[in-house]
Amino acid sequence: MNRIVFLVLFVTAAVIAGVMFQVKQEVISLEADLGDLNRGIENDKEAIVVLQAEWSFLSRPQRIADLARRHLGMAPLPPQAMAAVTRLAPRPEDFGVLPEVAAATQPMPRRRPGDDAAVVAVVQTADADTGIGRPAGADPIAALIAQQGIGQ
Amino acid sequence: MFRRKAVRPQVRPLVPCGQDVGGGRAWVIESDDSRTDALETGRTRLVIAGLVFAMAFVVVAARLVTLGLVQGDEGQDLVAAAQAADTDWTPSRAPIVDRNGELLAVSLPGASIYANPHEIRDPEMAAQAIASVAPNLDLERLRSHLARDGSFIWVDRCISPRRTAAINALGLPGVYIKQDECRAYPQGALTSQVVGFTDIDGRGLEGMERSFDEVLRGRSKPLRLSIDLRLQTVLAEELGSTITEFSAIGGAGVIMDVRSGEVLSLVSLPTYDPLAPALSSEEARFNRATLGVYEMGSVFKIFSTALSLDSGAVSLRDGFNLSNPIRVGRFTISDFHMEHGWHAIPDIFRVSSNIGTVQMAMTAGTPTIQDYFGRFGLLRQPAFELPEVAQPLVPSPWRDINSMTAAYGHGIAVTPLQVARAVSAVVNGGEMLPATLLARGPGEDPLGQRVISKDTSDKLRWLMRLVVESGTGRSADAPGYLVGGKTGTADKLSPHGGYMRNKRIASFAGAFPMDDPRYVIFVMVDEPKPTAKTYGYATAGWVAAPMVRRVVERLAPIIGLPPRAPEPANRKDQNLIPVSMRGTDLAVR
Repeated sequence: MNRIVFLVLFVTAAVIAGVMFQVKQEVISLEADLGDLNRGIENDKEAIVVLQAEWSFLSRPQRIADLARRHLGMAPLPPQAMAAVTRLAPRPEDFGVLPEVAAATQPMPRRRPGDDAAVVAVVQTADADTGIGRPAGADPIAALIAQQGIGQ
Repeated sequence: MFRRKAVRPQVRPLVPCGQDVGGGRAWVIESDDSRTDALETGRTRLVIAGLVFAMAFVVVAARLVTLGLVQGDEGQDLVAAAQAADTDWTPSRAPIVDRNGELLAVSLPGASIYANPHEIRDPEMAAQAIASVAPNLDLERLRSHLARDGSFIWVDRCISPRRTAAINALGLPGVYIKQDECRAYPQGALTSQVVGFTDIDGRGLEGMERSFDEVLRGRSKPLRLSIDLRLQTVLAEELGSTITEFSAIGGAGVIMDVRSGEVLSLVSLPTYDPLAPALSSEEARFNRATLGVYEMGSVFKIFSTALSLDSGAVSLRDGFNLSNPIRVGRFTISDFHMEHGWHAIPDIFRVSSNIGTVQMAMTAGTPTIQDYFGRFGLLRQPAFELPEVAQPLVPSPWRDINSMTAAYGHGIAVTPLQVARAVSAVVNGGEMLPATLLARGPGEDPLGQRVISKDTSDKLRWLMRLVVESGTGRSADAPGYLVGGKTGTADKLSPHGGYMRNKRIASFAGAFPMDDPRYVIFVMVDEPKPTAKTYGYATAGWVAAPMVRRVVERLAPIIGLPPRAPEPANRKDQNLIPVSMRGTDLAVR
């Protein structure tokens, strides 16, 4: 009887010791990780401050304006380029024309030689102020092609 | 724990030399005394040894427990502290940002090089080695410093990472690298007159860095200024190009929000690099916008007209005779372009007549002029965040002749900031707001002090619009923005007394849009020279007004202010007001 109790106690103690050792090792490695992370956070914070300053330096309005002028051919926005949405021309939808009809019957820009694909792509855009009252039965695409002379 | 066994007394035959206690077959039981004693002694020793060992184990166990549970944290703290000392860096000075959060000044971690001359064996060689990678250092100075008898000298502060690596690679004994904090100004010279700069140890010396030195040191939250970097860029660029075009010696510009008193842009040219203030001239370090006092000329007619109307001395329908120059003692007041006959107040303001303005202001009288100029904040140093703020030059004693000259902006010198602030009060409905360089939150508009009535303010807005529509400031008219304002050309005082005819200050004080003013712009160009393009003129209408137009046209899209539709053609009829003059009704314009 005594032997069994002793054995059980011994095994328990050994297991606890083992687990304890394991946990301890884990804690040590986690603490090392934590230290690394904290150090990393500090380094990143420092880097963020430096990068923010660098960003401010590189995005100086004068520099951006100069770059835009030289590489993109841009100029300061003139006041005339600003308009309210309410001042835009009304769309066919505003007169009760169905959107798909309007999209297909809108006026087209003049065809450039050898540029058929671009013309077809424009059909997708919606910017019409005429083309209202086209007969509903007519095939709008066919009418459009006839009108524009695509493929002739 | 263990089962006890019954121990029987050990019995053995009596040895021959043993004690005879009985007959031939007798057993002798060994005397208990000696055996028991030995056993007792042994047991006692065993117990003592056991106790000692047990105590030792308890101590070890206790130590383990304390190490594991209690002291582990302390150890971690020590480790953390050691790590922190190694890498943790928190800026000791808060950044300064503009109203949109763009950095204007920030403290960065950097490296500094110092040396211990005692540890340097060959100062000559060390100095040459350092100078070879840091060409900006003075070799002679470095050599003498390194040869000095001491244990610490700075070699260079706040150097680039590349140079740090180069100096580190030299491997010189006695030369060390230290982590340091360096103030950086990403916007450079653009905002240096506002932001100022610090010394190498991070003490604010000028500008906001100086006036908010304590605040910046005590916190990490950025200090948000009212300056808008985009507006600052536009104003500085346009002012700079105007100065170049007219070969002027300098200029200043202020853009103010008339509703909150916030200064959105404050430019003084020429300016300086805040990283090397010592390399720039005194002239460049001088903040013309707040520290420079100038006789502003006709811009002051805004204030003299406002006070004449507000005090009730004259009404818009009154007029004066502009035919003859005014002579007071040895002074003669005349006009740049002499007009003839009687003109109504709007016309006097539109053509910027000195003669008419003086008569109008003198109708109000010297005490009224002094009172109103005081209300407009033109006679005292304004409260402002910058340390560089000047006291205006006010005539003392103030006689009638001083009132006359002050009415058209001579004999009284104020700063551009004061003019911008007073013009805001004139156009915003008559409330004087404290000017500030700190951003105000929404709904934090300060309570103003009423200086003129709403009615007078409305009239002045109309008059200022008139000047740009058809008067001296026509070139300031940015279509769709209803710019209004007043030009001012003042001859500069000669060091030998009197005025110089060919050195002048051209200024323009304006606001837009005039039907509901949002922004006041004041620009000033110092000593513009006439060019062929301006037909030999260098007056405000040719120099400052076109600049205001360009500034308005560029900043309106930035602040999202759409232009108004063109005014209807019949609008001019609304501007016709009847003018009574000696019983005759005339129409203005």
